[in-house]
Amino acid sequence: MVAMANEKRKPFTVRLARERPWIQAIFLTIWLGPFLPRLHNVCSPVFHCYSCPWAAFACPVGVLANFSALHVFPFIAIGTVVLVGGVLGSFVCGYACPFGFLQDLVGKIPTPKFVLPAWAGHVRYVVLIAFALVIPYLYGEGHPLFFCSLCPAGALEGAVPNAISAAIAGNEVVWPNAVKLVILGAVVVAMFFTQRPWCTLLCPLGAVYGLFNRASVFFLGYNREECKACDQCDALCKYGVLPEPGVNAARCIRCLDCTRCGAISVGSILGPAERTKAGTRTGTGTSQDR
Amino acid sequence: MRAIGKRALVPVVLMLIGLGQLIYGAGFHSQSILIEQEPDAPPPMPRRFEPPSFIGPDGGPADFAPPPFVDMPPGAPSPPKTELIALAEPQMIHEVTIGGLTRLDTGQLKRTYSGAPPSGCPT
Repeated sequence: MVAMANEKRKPFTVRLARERPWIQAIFLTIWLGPFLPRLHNVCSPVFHCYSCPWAAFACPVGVLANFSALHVFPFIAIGTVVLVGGVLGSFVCGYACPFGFLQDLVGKIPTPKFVLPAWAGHVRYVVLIAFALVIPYLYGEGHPLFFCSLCPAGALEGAVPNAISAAIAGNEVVWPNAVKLVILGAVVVAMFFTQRPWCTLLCPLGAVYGLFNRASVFFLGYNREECKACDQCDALCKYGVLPEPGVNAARCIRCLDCTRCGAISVGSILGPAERTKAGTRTGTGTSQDR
Repeated sequence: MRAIGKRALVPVVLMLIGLGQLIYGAGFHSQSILIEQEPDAPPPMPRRFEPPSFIGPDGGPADFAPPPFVDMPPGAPSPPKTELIALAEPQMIHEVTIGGLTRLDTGQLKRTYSGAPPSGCPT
């Protein structure tokens, strides 16, 4: 029965992974809706700068950093991230994030790609704690290392379009922060040579969602009976997450490409699939929990 | 059933925490903000009376056309009024998206502008 259920689920996850760019594009029209009302008093669950002329919602990381500078607890931003993360984990990164979508599109350009080492994912927590929490809390929003002053998404979606539109309109042009532009340039160049460099190395929101991967309502389940230890999952993962430290690792963006191998599928707390623990595969034909 | 309950415990607790924070933040959380109101326009000064001349520019009788009152120089502007208001968290989120709030050394939160809000985030 369980095997039959898994068989039914497999094509859906594979189809979902195949349609991912379209799903990302649909979400993009929600976050970047030129005809939608400006709901800047509502936090979106994705990394998207509210300075963008078309931004429909507020960025949770920007709100977190600004509220930290004000010494006020951001209940709405934290509540949004905990609620969405608790349900979906980093599915948000793989399917809904507009900055991730941009990186995926650039990543399709056929250039040599390098996989970042697993430890690089921990840098995201340094970014979160240092630039979005501690520096704003201690030095306020005027500090040059305040997160929004460095954010490449802010530069790309807010500062640059605003400067261009001011120049076109003949108004006084406020030049974007140079450091921000340099970081944006570095991230754009890195997009050509590694998959999702911002997400895997620096994104503070991805760091938080990654923590929910082991405890979210929907998760990736690993079926040890199906696993042939063929390393196909390893080959399918562009981010170097599999097979170690596991299918629900914090670095995973849940693109679902690995579900094509057959042993990995999407499960939920109400379904039959077991949430798997971190571990390594033996490579002997039998497999341990991952 | 017990297995599902065990598996669901942490995600359900997380969802409840998130939902609780969202409801509290959206409905009940507010913060006192110091706002500076636009200074009132100074009251109009009384106009000085200037008696009309009975002799015109050509030496003849004047036609009494020049205005009998002359504007006085404007008075000093009144100092800006400050007011403490409770701002709900959704409004605070909207304010921070335009760089509209700052924290003073005293710990008091203050709106950075008076009158029309800035059009975009300062960063």
